Amino acid sequence: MNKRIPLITLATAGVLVLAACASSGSPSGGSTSGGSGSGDSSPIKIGIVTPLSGAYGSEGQEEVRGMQLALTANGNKVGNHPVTLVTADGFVANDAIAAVDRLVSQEHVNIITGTYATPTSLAGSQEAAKLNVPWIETSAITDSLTQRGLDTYIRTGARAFDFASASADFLIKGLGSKVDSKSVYIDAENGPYGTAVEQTQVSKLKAAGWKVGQGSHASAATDVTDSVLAAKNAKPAVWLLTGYNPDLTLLLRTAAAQNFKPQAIVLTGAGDAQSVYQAVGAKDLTGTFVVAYSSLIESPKYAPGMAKYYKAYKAKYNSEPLGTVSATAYTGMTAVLEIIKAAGGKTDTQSIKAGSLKVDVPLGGLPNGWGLQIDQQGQNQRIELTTVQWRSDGTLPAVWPTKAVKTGEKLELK
Amino acid sequence: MKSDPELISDETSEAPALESAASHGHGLRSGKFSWLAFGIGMVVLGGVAALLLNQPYYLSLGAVGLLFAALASAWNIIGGYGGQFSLAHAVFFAVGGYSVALTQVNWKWAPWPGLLLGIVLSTILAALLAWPLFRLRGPFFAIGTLALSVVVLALVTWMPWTGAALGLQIPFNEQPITSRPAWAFIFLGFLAVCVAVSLVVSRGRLGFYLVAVRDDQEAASAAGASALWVKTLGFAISAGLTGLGGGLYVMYLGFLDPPTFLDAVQIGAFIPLCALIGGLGTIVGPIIGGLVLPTLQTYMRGAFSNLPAGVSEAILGLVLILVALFFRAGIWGWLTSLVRRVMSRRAKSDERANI
Amino acid sequence: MGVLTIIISGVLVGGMYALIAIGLNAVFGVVRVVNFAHGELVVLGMYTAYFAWTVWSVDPYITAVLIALPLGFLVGLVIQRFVVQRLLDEPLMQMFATFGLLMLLQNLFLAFTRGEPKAVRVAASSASLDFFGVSVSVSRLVVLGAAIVVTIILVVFLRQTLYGAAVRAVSQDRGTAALMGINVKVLYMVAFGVSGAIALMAGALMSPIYTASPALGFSFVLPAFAVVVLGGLGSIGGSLIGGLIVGVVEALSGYFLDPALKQAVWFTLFLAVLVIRPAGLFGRAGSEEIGQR
Repeated sequence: MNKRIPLITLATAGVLVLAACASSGSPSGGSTSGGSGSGDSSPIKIGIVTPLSGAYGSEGQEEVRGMQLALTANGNKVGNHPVTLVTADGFVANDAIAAVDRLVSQEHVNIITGTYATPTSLAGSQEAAKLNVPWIETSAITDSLTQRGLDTYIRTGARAFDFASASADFLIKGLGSKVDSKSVYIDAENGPYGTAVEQTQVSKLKAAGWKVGQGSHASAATDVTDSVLAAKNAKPAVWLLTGYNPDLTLLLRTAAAQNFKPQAIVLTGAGDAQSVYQAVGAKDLTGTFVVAYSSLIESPKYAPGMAKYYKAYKAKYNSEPLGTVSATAYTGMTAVLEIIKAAGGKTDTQSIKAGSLKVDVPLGGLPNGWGLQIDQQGQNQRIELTTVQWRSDGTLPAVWPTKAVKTGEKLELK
Repeated sequence: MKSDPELISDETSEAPALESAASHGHGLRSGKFSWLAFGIGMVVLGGVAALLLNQPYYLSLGAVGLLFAALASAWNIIGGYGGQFSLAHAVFFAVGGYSVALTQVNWKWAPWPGLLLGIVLSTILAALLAWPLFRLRGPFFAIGTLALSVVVLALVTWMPWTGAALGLQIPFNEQPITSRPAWAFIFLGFLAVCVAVSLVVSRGRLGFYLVAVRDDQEAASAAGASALWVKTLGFAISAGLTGLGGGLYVMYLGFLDPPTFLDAVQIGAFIPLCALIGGLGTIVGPIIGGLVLPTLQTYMRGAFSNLPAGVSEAILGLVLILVALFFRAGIWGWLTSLVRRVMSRRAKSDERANI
Repeated sequence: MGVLTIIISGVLVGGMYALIAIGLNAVFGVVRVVNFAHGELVVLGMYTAYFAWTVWSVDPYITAVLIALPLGFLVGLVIQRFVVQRLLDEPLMQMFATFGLLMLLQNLFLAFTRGEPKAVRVAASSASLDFFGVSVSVSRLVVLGAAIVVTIILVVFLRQTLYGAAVRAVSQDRGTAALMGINVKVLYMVAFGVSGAIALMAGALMSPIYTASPALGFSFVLPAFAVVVLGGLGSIGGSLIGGLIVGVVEALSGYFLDPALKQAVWFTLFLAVLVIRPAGLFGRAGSEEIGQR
């Protein structure tokens, strides 16, 4: 007879849960309505959606740090508008949707940025589009993000395509004259990122008349001897690899053990971390090229803002940045502020779109050496990635393009 | 009227929670009350959703909660009543998702026939897989299903026609439902379907056999229930519902990629966890678990976002261990035993009063 | 030549799978518990080696024996005493609990390392021997050697000692063994301790080969499960051979088919074996039923 209670209790419990949520919603003061209108000094609120927990949580937190530093460097305002940041966790796709809903309905943000993770960007930006809030992506790199015909979506950061073409250009123009034969073996991790990079690399290098071999590896593979042997059997002059730090480390170690020594090894997207140097060792790593986000040792005149960023980071967080995530976000937030400036301080989707089309920052104008020119699809066209080379002392000077090269450094094969 | 569940636990090797839950379920069997309660429950949930109409954030959280409540209810049919710890439900979730996405992207189908296709395909797949998988028992079944989901993830990432690692995107302007409130009600409807099926199964002969096979497969077989048939049927029904959920989820997200649908932890293990935390082998338990766990997770992520990444998930892991150790009956089992204890105390005092 | 290299690399990876699987088998075969968190224990061993190496400059191979073994034993003991012991008769709850342990440990690693990969580098990391023109990685050879040594020790122990007889008795019939006066509780704790010790040692030995990261455990525990089941529950020698089989099959399918498919290939194989002969290749038929109703 007490059996009747169940679902009624459930219903009550459900109400309680939802009510509890409603009451615990973080009420943050100073939420504004609109925030548009030029000439005035209405505040602007920018929401950051990024994974703050889970496997990519550390990277997401770094991203927030970089963005905060950039905002501080700009005096916490754009034009006359004071700017504040609000963060929301977007660990998986459905979190991103809820995060956007919270940022828009409760925090009343004017613009959303982020995200480091592609699923977060995909799902979050659609939700933002439904709510008519502009989305300026700084860190997710999947090509298709700016090919969706989503008018409210702008990306200031690099695409997988940019990494792929930067590495291909480096091979064609930088290495081509130095290696014995124009032959390359391309191996990428078989996730979305590696797959996208590999496709572009293959087509660009084939078009330039290179002999191209192709392979792949799983980023979680416990052994990559098969991939290394396949590359070794192809006898290429250049071995072009795309992946993350742990799998690239394993590939390089296995290549050393298998005595596979191509004239040049080029890593795309990762491989510039100190853990790689520590793991592979100076002997086998020296001379390896990395096409990645600008490193700090590059020519100061090429990437003018990086020294300042680095100093600010050390001062505020008293630790080394985790890779280049926060540096990229620092640049990204600078770009976001540029776009708002070009939109005359208005933050509605039309003004941001129009402003983004007007922005014209030349190469070298952003802290990490990029420029800013947004095309109709919303993609920044002024992105130039540099190539760095491992030295035996564990430093990574830029060796390509020539204008990024510090005096005294030069591109040389092992 | 019922012996203290603690007393049974040391004698039989079955979880006291499951024992009490099962008998509890049978108590409800022929009652019209369960259907009445079902109706009231759904109306109340709908009412709550309606109250939140102009609270998009809570509506989003609620929508995800309802989805996982439904998925946990579906899993519970084979996992709770049948006692088969399937980690392969992510596969059926993905089959449903790919059915909708592939037909819509390649052939411009409307999503509705895609949903139907997803149900049919995941049911058939489950029925086909049942024969090899149910040769495995207990932990071996769990490992086998885990292996299966890993194989499928590798295959889907490798095959070009599934969109490989990049997955599939449904163009923004071809998504039929973009309103957030609509989704809360769609997932509520999905939950209603899953719970209704669960009710029919658990109150019927199949549920009786599933519990019998779970509690003692040999005895059940000896009594004439074909263990393989019973489990296959339960597995297929559970998988079909999960496939429907996958299809709906693709429509909700607007895209699909292999890790989002096939992750062994985020989907494969998370659905069973919802059922466990709510209360295995009951109708209400998985609903509570599905509503509570994702909400709790989101809340903890927000609350701990200043701490190093991983802290909130670590706490969730700890919660899981503690639930397995001390609250095996889940939230619902705990609530019902509390009510029962209060009732029996009142009954005792009544007796005393009568004397 | 290429094929020989591949087979050798498969054997070497198989050695790692075997070593991890032996530890898993000590628990799965004796206590009948699926420890999903076993891979995290291996990763814990890697972090231990990294920590000892960076802070005290202790060689990982010394760490493996002097630190990882006792620490692992302790960790295993604690898991058995405080988690598994309470769930002995509840296979479903055991799986939930060890899965929770997996999540707990993996995310603690993440919280403590910020997800930064940690690498140890010693002379053996890049050293290789020449074997008929095929270069053989020394660090991997060490792991294979350890797997063989551990197998021999355990097999001799189980066959020749009274304690070994007790272990075998308990793994076949817990109830009867307890009636015969065997202290099942202590024996289970020892089994879990041995399992943890082997796992952490394996991790320390593997630290010169792999970059430690939180998610690494999962990519090792799946093959290890397959190895245990293939080799047969409770059969230590079977685990060694099963490990080598899985390693070689994986390497060959990676080389001849596609590196992206190698896991799928041997998982399918594993499912097939499981279905045809649930006791595994070297397990006694019916052993998979013991301990269950």
